[in-house]
Amino acid sequence: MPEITYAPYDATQEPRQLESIRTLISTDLSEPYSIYVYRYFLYQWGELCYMAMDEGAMIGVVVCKLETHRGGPMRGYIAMLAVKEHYRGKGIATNLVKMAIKAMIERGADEVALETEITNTAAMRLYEGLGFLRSKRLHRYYLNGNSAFRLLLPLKSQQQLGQRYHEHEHDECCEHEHGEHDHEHEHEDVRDKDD
Amino acid sequence: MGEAESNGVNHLAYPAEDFERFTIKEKRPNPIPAPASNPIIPAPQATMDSFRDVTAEFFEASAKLEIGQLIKDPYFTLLQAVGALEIMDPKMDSGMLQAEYESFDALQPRLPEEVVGIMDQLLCHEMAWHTGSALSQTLFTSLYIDRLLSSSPSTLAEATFQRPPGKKTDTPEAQLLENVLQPFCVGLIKCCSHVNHQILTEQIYEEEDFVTQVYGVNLFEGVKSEEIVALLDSSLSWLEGTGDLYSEEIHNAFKYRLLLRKSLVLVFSSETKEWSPETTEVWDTSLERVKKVEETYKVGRAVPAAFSISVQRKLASQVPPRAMVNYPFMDAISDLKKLCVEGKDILKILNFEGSTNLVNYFLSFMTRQPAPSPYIRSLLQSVFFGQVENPGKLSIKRLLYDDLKELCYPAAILLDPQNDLVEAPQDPRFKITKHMNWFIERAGKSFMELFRNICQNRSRLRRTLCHSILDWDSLQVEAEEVDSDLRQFTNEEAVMTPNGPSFAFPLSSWVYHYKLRQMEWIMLLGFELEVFQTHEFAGMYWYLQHYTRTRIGHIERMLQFANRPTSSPPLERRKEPRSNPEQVKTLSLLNFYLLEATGVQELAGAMISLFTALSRLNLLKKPPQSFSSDALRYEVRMKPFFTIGCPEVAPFEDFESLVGNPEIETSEFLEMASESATDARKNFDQLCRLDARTARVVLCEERYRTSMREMMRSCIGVGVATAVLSKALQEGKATPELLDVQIDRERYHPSFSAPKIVVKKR
Repeated sequence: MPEITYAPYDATQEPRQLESIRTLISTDLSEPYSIYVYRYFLYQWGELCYMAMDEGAMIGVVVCKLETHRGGPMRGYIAMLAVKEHYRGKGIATNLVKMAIKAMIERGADEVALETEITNTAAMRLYEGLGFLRSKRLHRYYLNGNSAFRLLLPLKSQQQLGQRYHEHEHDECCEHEHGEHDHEHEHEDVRDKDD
Repeated sequence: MGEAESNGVNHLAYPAEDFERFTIKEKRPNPIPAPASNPIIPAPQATMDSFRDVTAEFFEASAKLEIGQLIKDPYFTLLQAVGALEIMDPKMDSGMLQAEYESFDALQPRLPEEVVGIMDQLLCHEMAWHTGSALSQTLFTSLYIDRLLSSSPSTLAEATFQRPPGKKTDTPEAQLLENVLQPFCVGLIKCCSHVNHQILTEQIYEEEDFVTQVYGVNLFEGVKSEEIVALLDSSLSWLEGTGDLYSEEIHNAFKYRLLLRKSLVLVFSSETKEWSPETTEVWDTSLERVKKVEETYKVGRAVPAAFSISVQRKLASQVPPRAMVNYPFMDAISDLKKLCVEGKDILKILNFEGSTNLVNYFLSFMTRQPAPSPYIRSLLQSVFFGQVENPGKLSIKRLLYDDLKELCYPAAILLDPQNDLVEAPQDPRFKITKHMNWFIERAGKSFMELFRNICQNRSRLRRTLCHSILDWDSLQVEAEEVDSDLRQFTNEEAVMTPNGPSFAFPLSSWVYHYKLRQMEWIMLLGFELEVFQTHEFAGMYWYLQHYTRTRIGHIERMLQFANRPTSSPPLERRKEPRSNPEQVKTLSLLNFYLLEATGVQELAGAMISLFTALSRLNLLKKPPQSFSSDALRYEVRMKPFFTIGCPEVAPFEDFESLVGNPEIETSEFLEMASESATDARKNFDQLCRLDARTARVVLCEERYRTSMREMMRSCIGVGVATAVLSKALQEGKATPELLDVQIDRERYHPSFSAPKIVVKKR
């Protein structure tokens, strides 16, 4: 088997690469994402997207973002990860995620989060193997009625970070802590219904 | 690497139908405004003058952009990006669906068997909706229902299958559709309307539990349920009048489906406020009829053409077409039976058997498997809060005082109803009333919230508890102050303890006990929901044990004060017997809690020892975890508890050595596990034999016995696993090459799954 190569996403190649990315991702989706979803990530956080290639053909991709989470930690978010069926089980997804995490660490991430279906044991094994922890369970999170686990990879001590947020982001913190159900109104991440 | 990535894909969750509706529903009298019009009828058009063709400008501006460049409003969120559609893409644009409903003829003749089949398919869709699917993917895919509703009928007379003008419809087939299927559908729609109203009245989470979205369609809001019951009655009379037109089988199938629909309309429309413990008949009748429908299921013949997702193009045009939910008939029947059984069961809380029994009812009700449906959980809240908010029934004060009295046996004067009559501000009783009123207000709110929280789905409950313990923690501090203030009015005398003089602190004791219980629940739910992985088990059971042990200490303290001779304070010089019934009740409750908590503490202890041993022997397959560190993960795990004043979270290094106990031999750990499992079993054995009154499970005895049996099985399972491992260890065979550890979640208590140690096949 020829060697798999990895490459960061290149914005100048957008017309060609975006189509391959879309095809890869949408294969596993019951509903396709509009072009805006891809551009939302790639235009703002293209440097957190990595691709796996087999002789010029894209066979794997990871798409992420990195931003302040509710005035708190700098949170990386792994939005999409896909590897072509024929290429699965070879550690390609793990390599892609590792590259993305390293890129997030270089850009100051405090933590990395994602959601995965509770029935997707392969994905959980992948992420837990990298050090992610199941932080909470989300009831009927997906359209098919399946529940999700929120997985979290802490990269810096929250105790120390906590101090920092209170100094700089006081208002927002208070709002989240005292509003009884205000987490219901949050939409930072898709359907991210609580902190 | 093996198959780890065979499906290594994750993706964003789609927003559901309408993300403008992520609002929590507060109690409101009339939550659903009756829609003014059906969206199917176009709204009056704006005049053409207000439109301007911007195509040229748009193309000119977009030509200036780089490919891939995104012009993004700072408020354009990911959610909106995910919600965006590409028009004319058939996978995204529901407008591209063939409008099958337009050509649908609702009066096209159907065989009687087919009509039964359609009714059963509608029942499946109804129950799928009850379990959390959207109407657009369930009932609203029915072309019959679409035909009934698409003309926005506001009266029953208008609610028809819309006979085409001039078409002859006096054929027996057409009559069957109009006289049986049509009333059945009308009853079904009214049921949905009532269920939606109920869900919106209480706290149930939109999208994750239930989808209340009706897409602006009016579900006969203006039609009274009595009219619909009358319609179903006349449908039944029509059926009687058909004589032997249909075979007995078919005839009965129609009859029971109409009868079931009638009783469901009655059930869903009845006022919970008027319910009494004796209002069981509606539920029993419904249950009987569900069974009859089940018995006649085989008569029906499915009609797939009667359903189409094309209806979505006029309902939920902002989301991509979504598949019809395929809900099996047997699941629908068992859901509906369960709904009837549980609806009836809820009535038990109308018999007030004391607050502790009530709390236990809520707790045990929510451990039912499968979990009670959102509708039932909403109903439980309505029945309960209907009592609490109804003057003269079960006031918050009465409930709270009852709970406080039974747990803490506070000085009688604190709860004396006579206090309210004192008007002189300098009188201590006046001051007591003031403080106690504060407590009723403050603690009452948290207490009521607790009841509501317990009614949420288990995942939600765990997350909510992580927040609510903070509230209870501050409540504890506030209550401690009030306890101190109250002492000057009660003239409480200190009790001498080994640690010096000590006071009862009844209010904060009560708060502390509930706080600790909630902290234990968070841990227990972590196991139940599989949030904790096996390699974390030893540490997490350690925390469970830590919190339970802390509570045992607290119970012992409360026992000390409850045991004090009831020499009344000077203010209250009434003759009281040495041990009055209330004191006896408190002592009995505290002793029960002690027995139960000791059982949990021992079983958790057995788990800690066993899982520590398994981990030392490398049998738990801890993942490599190339990023982050155990210390950082520990912070994430313990995050909800860091700000709790007491008990505190242990520093990571202490935690590691407390759990891992490096100085203890692995074989010793296994001996400890075996001993603890045996002790735990003795406790649960005793708990199994308690009568319902002592265990405070008067309202939920059966569920209590089941749960205790599960605990017993867990104790036995841990004992067996320990014995197998000990033997393997002695024989030098306790290695990952020879042994495999499986977690069996089915047979045991959901929070105490015993590991199964299996010899690997070579």
